[in-house]
Amino acid sequence: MASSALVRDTNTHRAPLAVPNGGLLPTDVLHDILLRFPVDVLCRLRLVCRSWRSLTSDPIFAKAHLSRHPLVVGLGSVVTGPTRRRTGDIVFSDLSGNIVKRIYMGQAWEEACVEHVPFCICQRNDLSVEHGLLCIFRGKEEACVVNPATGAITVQLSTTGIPTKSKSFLSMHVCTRNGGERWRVRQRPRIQIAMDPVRKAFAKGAAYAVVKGVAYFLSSSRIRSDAIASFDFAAEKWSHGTLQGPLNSQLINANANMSFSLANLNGCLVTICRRYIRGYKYDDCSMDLWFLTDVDNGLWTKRYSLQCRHADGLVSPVGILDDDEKILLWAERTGALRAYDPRTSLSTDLSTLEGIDNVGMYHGSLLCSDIVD
Amino acid sequence: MASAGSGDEKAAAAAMITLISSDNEKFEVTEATATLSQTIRHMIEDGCTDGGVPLPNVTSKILARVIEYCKKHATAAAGEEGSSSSFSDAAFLEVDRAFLEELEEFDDAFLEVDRATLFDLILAANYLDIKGLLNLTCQKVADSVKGKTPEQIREMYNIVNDLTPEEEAEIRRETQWAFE
Repeated sequence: MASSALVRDTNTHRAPLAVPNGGLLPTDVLHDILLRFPVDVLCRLRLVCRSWRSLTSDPIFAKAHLSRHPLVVGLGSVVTGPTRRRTGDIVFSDLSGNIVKRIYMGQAWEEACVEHVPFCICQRNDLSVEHGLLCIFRGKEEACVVNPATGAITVQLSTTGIPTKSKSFLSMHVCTRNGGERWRVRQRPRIQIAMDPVRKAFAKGAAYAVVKGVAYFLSSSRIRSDAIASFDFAAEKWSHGTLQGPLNSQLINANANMSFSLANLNGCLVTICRRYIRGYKYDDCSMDLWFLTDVDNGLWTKRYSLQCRHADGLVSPVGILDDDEKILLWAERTGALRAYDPRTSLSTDLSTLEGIDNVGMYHGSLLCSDIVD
Repeated sequence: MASAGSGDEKAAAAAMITLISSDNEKFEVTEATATLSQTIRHMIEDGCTDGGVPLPNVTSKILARVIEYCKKHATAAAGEEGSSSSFSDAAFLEVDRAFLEELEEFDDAFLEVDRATLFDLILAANYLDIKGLLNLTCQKVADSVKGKTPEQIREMYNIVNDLTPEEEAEIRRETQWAFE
C-alpha cells in the first residue's frame, strides 16, 4: 500500500474517497467496492466524479465486472396463448433474472418479428475491433449491428439483386469494418449449410456459432453428417474443405436418435450432440459437449456429458461460469436458467427468465465497447 | 466446540506473536489470530517476527479493532475445522448454524463505527491483507452508496465534483438507458 494513502487531513476527517494517489482509499480498494454494483448502477455512479467515471469505463474493470456479474442476452418475448411472440427488443439480464438493459429496436422491427419466426441473434464480440457488438439477423432479408453499450443501431439491408434465399443469407454474413459497413455478396459455401434450425429437424438448437472471427455452420445436406463449414470474417472467405465433426458419419447414420447444434462456450467452438433415449424429439436425452481443442488439426475433446429431462424442452448450454466452472444451461420451454456442476452432476436453478427468448451468454460489456480479451 | 477451544489454547501456548502499532503499543496475539493476515503469515513463514512485528501504518486504536475481528474469526475457523469431521451429526450442524449467526451479529456490531474509522479499517485490512475484513468493510461502503444520488454520495464522502456540465451531459447521453 502506498504510504501516501494514509496521509489524511485529521482536522476535517473528510478527504476525497476517489482521488487516486493522495486520496483516502487506494484505487484498488475503490475498484473492489465499485465491482459490487450492477452495471446500470455503475453507469449512474459515473456522475459522481471524473475518477469514478474513468475507473468504471476501463476495459480491465469491465472485464472483471463481467466475470463477477455474468450477463445473458436474448430477444424480448411475450407468451401469447401456447406460443411465444417475439417483441422488438434485445434484453440483457443478470443470472438472477433481473433485466439490466433493454434496447428497443423500433416499431418496424417489432412488426417484422411477429411475421418472421427465424429471427436469430449472433454474437460477434470477438469478430473485429468492434468487441461486444451484436449482429442480429432478421428473417432472411435483413441484418443489423447493435452496440449494446450505447444502444446505437446500424441497420443493414442486403437482398437487392440476389434471387435465391440461400444466396441472400450468404450476403448477410459479411460486414466490412469500415467504409460504411456495407454487406457484400460472397461466393457460396461448398456444402449446403443449416441456417434455420426450426425447419431442419436434424439440427436442434443453434446451427451456427461464431468463434474468434470465424462463423461455423452445420451441414444440412441430406446425407446425415456433423460436418461443419466455416467462414472467416477477416478474409471474407469460406474455408476450402469442411471441418469434420466429433463423430464420424457412419456412426451418425446408424443412430437416428441424434441431433446436433453448435455453440461458442467461452471462446471455444462446441458441438452439442444430443441422443434421445427412446425416440426422436420427444424424450429425455443425454447431451455430450465436444470442444474443438485443436483448431488446426480439427481435434475434438468430449469434456462434459449431461442428462436433460424431456419436461424442460430443449436445454442448451449457454456458457461456462468463470468463478466455479459450472455450465450455465437455459431451458427453452420453461425459461429456467441453471448452473450445472460437472463434478457432482447436479444442477441448481438460478432463475426463470421471463420474457426472453434465444438466450445466449453476453461476452461483451455494457460498460465499455472495447473490452479486452 | 470444547475440543476446538482447547486446540486453540494449545496453539496459543505454542506461538505468540507481538504486533507493534504506529504509536508503539504492543499487542500479544496467538499465531492463529495473526495469520488471518496474509502479510503477517508471510512474515512468520520467512521467520522474521522475532522481536515483534512493527506495523507503522496502523494505529493502536485501529489495531485493537482489527485484532478483535481476527480473534473472533480465528475461533470461527478453528470451530469449522473441528466440526467438519462429524458434519453429518445434526447436533453439530445446529451448533455451527448458531455459531455462524453469532458471527454475523458480531460482524454487524463490529461495523457500527464512524466513517473515518471504517476507512482506517479498510486501509488496515488492505495493508495486512485480511480478506474477510476487507470484504466486510468494502461491502459496508458499497451499502452506504446504494440508492444514493451522485450529489448525496459526494456529500457523504467529500468528493469534489470535477465533471464539467458538458461531461455530465455526455455521460447521460452515452448511457441514457441507465437513467430511464
